[in-house]
Amino acid sequence: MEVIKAENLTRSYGGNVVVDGVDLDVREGQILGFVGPNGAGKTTTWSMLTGVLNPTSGTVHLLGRPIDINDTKLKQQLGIVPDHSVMFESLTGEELLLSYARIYGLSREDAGQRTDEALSVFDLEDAARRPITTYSHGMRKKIRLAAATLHAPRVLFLDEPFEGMDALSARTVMSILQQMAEQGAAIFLTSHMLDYVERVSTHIAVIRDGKVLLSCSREEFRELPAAEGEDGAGRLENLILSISRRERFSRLSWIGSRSAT
Amino acid sequence: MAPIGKPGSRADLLLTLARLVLPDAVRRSKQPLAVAIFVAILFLVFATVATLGLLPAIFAIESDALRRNLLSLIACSVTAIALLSQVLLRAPVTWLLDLEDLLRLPVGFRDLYGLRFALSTIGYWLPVLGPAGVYLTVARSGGVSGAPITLLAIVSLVWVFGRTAAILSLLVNRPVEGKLGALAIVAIVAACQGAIMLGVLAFGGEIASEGLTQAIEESAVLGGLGYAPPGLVAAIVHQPGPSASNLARLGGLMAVLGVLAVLENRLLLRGYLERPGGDRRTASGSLPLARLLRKAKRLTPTGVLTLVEIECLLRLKPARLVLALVLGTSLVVVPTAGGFAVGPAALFAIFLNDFRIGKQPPTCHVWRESLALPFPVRRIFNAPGRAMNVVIVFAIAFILGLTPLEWFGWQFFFVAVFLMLAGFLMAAATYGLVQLRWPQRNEGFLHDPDGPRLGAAVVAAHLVGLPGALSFLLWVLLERQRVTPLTAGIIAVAVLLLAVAAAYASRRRQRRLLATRGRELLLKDPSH
Repeated sequence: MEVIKAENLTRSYGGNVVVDGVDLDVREGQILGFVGPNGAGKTTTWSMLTGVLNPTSGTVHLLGRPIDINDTKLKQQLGIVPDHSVMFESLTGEELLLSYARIYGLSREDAGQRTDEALSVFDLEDAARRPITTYSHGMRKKIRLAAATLHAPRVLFLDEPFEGMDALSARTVMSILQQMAEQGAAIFLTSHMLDYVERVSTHIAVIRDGKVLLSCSREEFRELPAAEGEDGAGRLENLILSISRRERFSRLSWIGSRSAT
Repeated sequence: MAPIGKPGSRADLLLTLARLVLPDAVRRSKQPLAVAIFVAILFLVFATVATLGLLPAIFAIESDALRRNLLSLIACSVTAIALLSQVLLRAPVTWLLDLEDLLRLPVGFRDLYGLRFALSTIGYWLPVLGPAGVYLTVARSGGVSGAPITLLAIVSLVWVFGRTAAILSLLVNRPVEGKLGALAIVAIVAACQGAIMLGVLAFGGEIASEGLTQAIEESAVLGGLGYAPPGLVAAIVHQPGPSASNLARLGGLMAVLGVLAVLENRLLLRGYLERPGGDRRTASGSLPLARLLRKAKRLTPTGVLTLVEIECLLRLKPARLVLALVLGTSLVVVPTAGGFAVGPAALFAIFLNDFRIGKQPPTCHVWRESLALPFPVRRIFNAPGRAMNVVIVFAIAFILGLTPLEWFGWQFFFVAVFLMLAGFLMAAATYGLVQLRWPQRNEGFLHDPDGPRLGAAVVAAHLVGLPGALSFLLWVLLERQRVTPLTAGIIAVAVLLLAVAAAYASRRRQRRLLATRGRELLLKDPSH
């Protein structure tokens, strides 16, 4: 079943086209890694898919229904983890999760049980009773991810989920994403942490200048003739480098120079 | 968490969200809850005093036209001042809560807008105008049958006010607002002059002007303002009761409210669903210092310090709001207190300017910047420092000079100004040393458990008040002719010179501290 479907998605500001005719299709059990260089249009696409930004043209359907900010039934089946969010940071981590569980309509018993488990799995037990304002960047990511998954959503959107996370936390997140996909959830994630994206995604789409240049399964991607391992980079990183405009690493002329400034 | 309703129900969802967004809105205001409560109580006290002093006196005025126009003038002035404060100073209010994050939750935009609308009944207006609302509903509603109309009219006005402020906030480019903040101080203080004149008239004091009374009574503009939303409320309380005209006025208010709500709704939808996400974060209030520093071709310590001063002042939104409103209400007593009001009002302004809630004080910024940027620290001790305080002193003194009061003479004016300058110099010098001695992040007096630092800061604050007390004493002595103007002037100059010497010594001491322990202090400061 097509869970996330975008057709000819376009967004422009004035004359500047940021996203240009993007088509996407994510099915049950798939994890789509949406990658591209800075300013390629990833977050704009992500915002349109989650319904917080209107497309200039094109359509978005989630679970077969057009996205609508007033469709609460549909939104109850979504989990959204934005890159930056400052919401409810005066609460403790535990309070936030309990509140989210309530907002998503879980019973008190389920809310308590899932909150405890999420805090344990994301290694936030010690910080559970501290205000979120005291959390590090990585901890905030984890608490947001925990909040977005409490209600076992059928569609999960993540914007830079691995940013600021240590290796163990990132591995935990990947494991949870894979578990959710196995249970039939469709996951859309954008990230610059290309190694993690390559490992966790079942499908990969590459965007540049607002256009999707490549969209394929992980298996198809691995058969691409992109250089592997050059400069210690992974396959996906090399692909991104190869499609970027600046195809060589820049160097600073004065580094290594001993002349006085 | 106590259950509110059936889990998952719409009511439960909205009540849960309402419970969550309120403390969050407080947090986003960067203002500790205890400080917010303190400020609210302060407002409440002043507003109660002003209400009980002013409104009964106005209702006692015999002339019908004068009474009606005065009520319109008060209602429109208070609303205009409050609008200016809310929009330009960006006072933290719940109806500015960011819907963007909430829109991702399983709750519709319409419900969120309803929540925002409902929460707009809670805010600064409550302690500021609440006492007046209670007084008018209880004492000026023409009996039990008229009370609902009066109450509904007042609440409608609050909603109209909230919608108007929200629309203006959505239309005005927010970064621009911060730059206008300093101008807003002067504008608000100037607007408070209306309140002073009204107080003079209402109390029927010795200096009540017949010309002014006649002008208000016959003013066509004020007659026209009677049809604006605040004027409609004024008209209802002027002739209270369940009459057809009052119901028509209430209907007019509701119609205005409806139009504004639709407009706000459309603007919000456009704002949240049509703009790129990054732009919305500017609402947190980016300040121009970093941008200016980046653009500046040549940086001097004095220039940086001036920028730091301006930035600190721009950050004082809650304090500026307190200043404006408290000043506005407290100056009503000017006619009875005479020239004495100059000293306390200006000192209060200085105190509030120094009362930097949850912000690092300027000197802390100064030595941080000096260590982070490539310029020497040697000139920091002769920095202008707190220049805006001086501006405030003179602005208030000037504005008070324009009030229709019996002039207390240039001698006392300069004595008061000298003493106030001395006070702020001494306080600034002490603050500087306090900040270097205890360079922890400043969380405001009420939230700072560090005993010695708190004590030193309180002493520093009170140093401002000492010359104020001396100013008052000299004024009393002058009035009773126990001291000549010349002697008072000599005393003032001497105190000022002593303060300058103290400030100079403090700056030297700060310079030595920076030279020897600057980097160590920087590393110890957890806020960096």
